[in-house]
Amino acid sequence: MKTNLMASLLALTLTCAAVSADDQALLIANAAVPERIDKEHLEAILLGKVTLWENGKRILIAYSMDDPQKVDAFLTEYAGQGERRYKKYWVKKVFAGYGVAPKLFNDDAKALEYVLKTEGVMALVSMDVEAVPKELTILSVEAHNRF
Amino acid sequence: MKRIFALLTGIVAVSLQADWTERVTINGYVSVEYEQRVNGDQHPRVDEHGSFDSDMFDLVFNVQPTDRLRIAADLTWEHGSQSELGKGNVGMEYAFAEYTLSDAFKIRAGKMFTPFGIYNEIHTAKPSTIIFKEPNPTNKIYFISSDKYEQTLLYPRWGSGVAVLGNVNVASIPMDYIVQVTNGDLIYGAEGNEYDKDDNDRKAVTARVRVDLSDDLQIGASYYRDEMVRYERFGVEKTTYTQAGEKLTYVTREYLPVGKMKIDSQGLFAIWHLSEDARLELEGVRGTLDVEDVDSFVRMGYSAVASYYVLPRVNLYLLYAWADPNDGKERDTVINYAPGVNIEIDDNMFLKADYFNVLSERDNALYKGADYGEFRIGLAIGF
Repeated sequence: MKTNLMASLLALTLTCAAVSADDQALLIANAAVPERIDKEHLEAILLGKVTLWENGKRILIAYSMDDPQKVDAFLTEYAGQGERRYKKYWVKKVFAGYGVAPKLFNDDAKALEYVLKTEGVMALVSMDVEAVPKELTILSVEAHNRF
Repeated sequence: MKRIFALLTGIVAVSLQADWTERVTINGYVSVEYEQRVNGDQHPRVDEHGSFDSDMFDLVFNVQPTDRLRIAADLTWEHGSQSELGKGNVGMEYAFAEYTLSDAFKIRAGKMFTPFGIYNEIHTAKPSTIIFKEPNPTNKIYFISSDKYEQTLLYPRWGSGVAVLGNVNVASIPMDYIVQVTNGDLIYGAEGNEYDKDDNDRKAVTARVRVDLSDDLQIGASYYRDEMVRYERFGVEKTTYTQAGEKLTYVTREYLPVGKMKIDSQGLFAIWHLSEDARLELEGVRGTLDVEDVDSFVRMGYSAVASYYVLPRVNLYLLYAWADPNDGKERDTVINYAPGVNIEIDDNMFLKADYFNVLSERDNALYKGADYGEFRIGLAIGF
């Protein structure tokens, strides 16, 4: 019983950290993109298996390597593979003729600029919530606003 | 008025151009290699002098005119292409249009890679493979046997035709499928262009399904079937006349149709990420070649690639592959093995090196029992 209680407390602590701390990447998008995404659906999008939004617009993926650790953690959690493997996955997919690779940016500012001017794009950035322009949507996976 | 028109034209041109460039993506790769025999028997397949190979410059275009339409093309220049001297190879690996009705159902038309197994669709794309080159037993049977029938490809590299493909979930398990109908293959050397005109009524069918059992384990199965025209080379007598009206008779050697060949190939494969650092690729292929009135035999081969990142950018690997080009013959198998390393020097810039070994049995048509080892090193850069 004591062990179970300790485990529950530890799990609760970890869950809270994952939801609220500022060490997680953000998923932002241009208008006309659903604000909530199911985790399985997000994985399918990140892996290029789902390519259209519900409104029929093509999904474009982008990510910023401003903070590689955040990106790696996010992709491990939501794409089922770390950034190195994810990049190789897409290299193979593109050269085999199965799609267009996610757009890669070196910093958040450029990624933000791209999202602001491009319809249908979903981008992974490392900035704080406060820095995200109001006209953009911060996507949440399941019930969480932060990752 | 003229100024206004010029201004409007300029605005339209700029907006069209901006729109157009946003819908075009260009990727590609470059690879340069060096190979040299280091031990064992001399053989025409191995480079005893040590040579640099300007292996590849390749551009991949993706154009998306609408949200549902994608045009993809892969243009390649191989082995220092120099058309003036008739050297190297310039090719269109694929060029097709793909229309997405839904993610579960897309339609393609054009020239495409044959979607068989792990390697065929990325056989030229060196940045996308861990190993130095794709395994011969499952992908390059003509590097296993030089017998005129045995070397017939288990499936062709490319095909002209149509395909349906998509991603689906079956019982919550993600999988993708593709079914392709093409003109099929043409015997090497025979006149004709199978990407333009078929030489028979039967179309080739390729099907593949890949199932993601987990984020780390994918299994798949491939199938290819075709009925080809069998050609043999004969001396054909021809007549011509000189300007003086003198009759000249000469003999040329030409391929003439003499029968049929049926190809039926099946493959199974698995890609397993044991961790973020360790990976295993397994592929097995078995195919029946039925040469009408001549022979019918089974060819088979498998390959296994184990790799492990000993450092974040240093990937060690071991390739082991085996092939039997004809089950009706004894002592004709070939083994390839290659320990190697793949180092990512910079983003998408890979230095690959391996020690590639061939072990053959004495009745193999190509190697005739020769065994040798060669050192191979290459640079592959993706962009």
